[in-house]
Amino acid sequence: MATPREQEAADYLRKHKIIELMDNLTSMLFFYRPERPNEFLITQLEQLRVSKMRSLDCPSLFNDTNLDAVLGILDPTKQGHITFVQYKEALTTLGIEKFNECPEGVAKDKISQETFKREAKEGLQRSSATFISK
Amino acid sequence: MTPITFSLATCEFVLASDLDSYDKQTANHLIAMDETAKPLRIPPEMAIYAEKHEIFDLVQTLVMNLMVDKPEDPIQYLVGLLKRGSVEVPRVMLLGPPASGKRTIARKLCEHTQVIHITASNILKEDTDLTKKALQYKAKQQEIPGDLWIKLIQQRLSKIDCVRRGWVLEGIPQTREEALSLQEAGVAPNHVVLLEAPDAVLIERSQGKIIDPVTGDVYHITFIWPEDKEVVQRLERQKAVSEEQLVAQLMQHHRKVHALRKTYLNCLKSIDADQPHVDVFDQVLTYILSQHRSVAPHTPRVLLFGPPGSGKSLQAKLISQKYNIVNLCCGELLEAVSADATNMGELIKPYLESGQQVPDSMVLQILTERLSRLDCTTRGWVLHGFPRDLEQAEKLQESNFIPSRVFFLEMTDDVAIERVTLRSIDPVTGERYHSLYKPAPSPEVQTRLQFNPKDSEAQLLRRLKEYWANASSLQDLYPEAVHINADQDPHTVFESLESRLVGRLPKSLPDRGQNYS
Repeated sequence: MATPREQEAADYLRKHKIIELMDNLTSMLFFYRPERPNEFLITQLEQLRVSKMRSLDCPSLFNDTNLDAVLGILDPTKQGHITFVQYKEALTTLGIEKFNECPEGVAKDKISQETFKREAKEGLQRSSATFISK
Repeated sequence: MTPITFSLATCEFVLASDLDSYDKQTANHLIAMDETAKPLRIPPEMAIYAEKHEIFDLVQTLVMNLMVDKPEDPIQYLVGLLKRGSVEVPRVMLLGPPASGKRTIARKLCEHTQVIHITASNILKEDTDLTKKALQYKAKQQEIPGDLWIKLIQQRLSKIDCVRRGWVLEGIPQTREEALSLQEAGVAPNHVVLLEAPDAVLIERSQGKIIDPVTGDVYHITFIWPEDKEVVQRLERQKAVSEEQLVAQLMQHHRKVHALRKTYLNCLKSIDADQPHVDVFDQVLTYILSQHRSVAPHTPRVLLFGPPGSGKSLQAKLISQKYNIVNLCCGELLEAVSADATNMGELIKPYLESGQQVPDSMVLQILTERLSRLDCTTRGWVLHGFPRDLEQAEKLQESNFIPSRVFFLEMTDDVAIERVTLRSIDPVTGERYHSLYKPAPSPEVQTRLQFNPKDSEAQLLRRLKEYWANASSLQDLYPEAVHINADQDPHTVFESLESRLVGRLPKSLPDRGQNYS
């Protein structure tokens, strides 16, 4: 049975999404591998703070070129759209947990590239902006 | 998935987008609809980076601080924490009965490591509202109430000098209740040192103990006498502590220390204070610099060096069996490659057959290929037989396969000669024998025994000379290497290796004038 202090600590972690924040920060660290991890982390955190204040884009590991590359893999014949299952798989692999299950075009099972990119970007913003409580 | 493996999974995917530099396997995973559980392939650069900068411990400390302080704005708080510089500073509690030498040790610690020294009396010397309240109690000869005392300590420890340089609490906490309240307030030490000595020794010591009224330093008539004449004059006018008072204090201490020991069970170390204080200090310092077992994920990458006959193959085999890491003997690896009908195999065959040394570039290529295979990167490796000289070692460093532990098995030449020249093998059973240590069981086996021409005395002396010619430059290249005495039975050697392999390396003292980390 969790003691009151344990409960408090667990609630705090959940409320401020500390684990997700740490995930994002460590991913950045391992990808960029800066010589001075402390300074790098400070820069990332400051950027996060600024984007929180001014509702700008949050720093994220994936950018437009990555999303284009993903589309390239999923749609090698360049039809211009992907299936719903592909869409779901791709967004899950990107680490986006809650995404729009009914994007445009799901009826015909043809989700256009623009829709995919838009949903992906929104989802990524949501994962990075851990300071926004549910 | 734990947080770190999850973030590594996202990284893997990012790398996959850059298709010409990474494995297409990951790309296929996207196209395949079912989730086959492929092992997560972490590039070795990430693992090396994580170990070198101790990322796991950094994140652990950050989360720990967040959970203790629970700030409203975690981002701001983290920035502050990171800006303060080193997140790992010494946090020591020095406990023990009166006259055990706490003051002397604490002072010495401050000299050596720049930590802040905190005692029950110097907390009250601060000039804050809380201290003024506390002093009021003292003036009335009353005990300072528990929660006020804890708040005082917490306030002192959260000042910037303690946060930056670390602290040593001398004689605090006195009781288990105090210890638990400190924990609740978020004050937790990394190391707790408990000085112990028999009562008789303590009583005798206290007879000669004299405290300098001005500086608060502790001196002793026989053991520690000041050199400064002024101090000597001050001391001569002081009286020693009375014996009855001391006995009462000792009884109280014995009652309380048992409970304190239980509170700090996982980071406490008892040190025998009945020794010259220099020795006590050495032990305390070694303990404080040691790091507790970390739960950080760690792939062992071990290099074993030693003269022929020192037991490298045996130890490597033992380590790889017990910890399930890949055992790589350079000689065997080369022979295995030459047995394959590959290009590389054909190239090195003539060298191996004629007994010449295979050129460094080829060896390195074979080795790096083997080390970058999945089993080595996920399970770890122990390598022996390479590098043989400084050049090879430098090339190994450049290839980005940096070892996490380096061991030098030390042995004198005569032991080496004895061990190697009497080695033999039974070709029928494959058992290895030794004329002195493990003789053949029957005359029948004895006649069959074969001696390896490499083990002849002439060849051995040549190999030994070669080893010693290169040993010192190799040792210079690996300053953090551990030296193990190989002139013992294999299990003792294995235990020494193990203790350094599994635990973390102790921190080294920085040069004076720098921060701790």
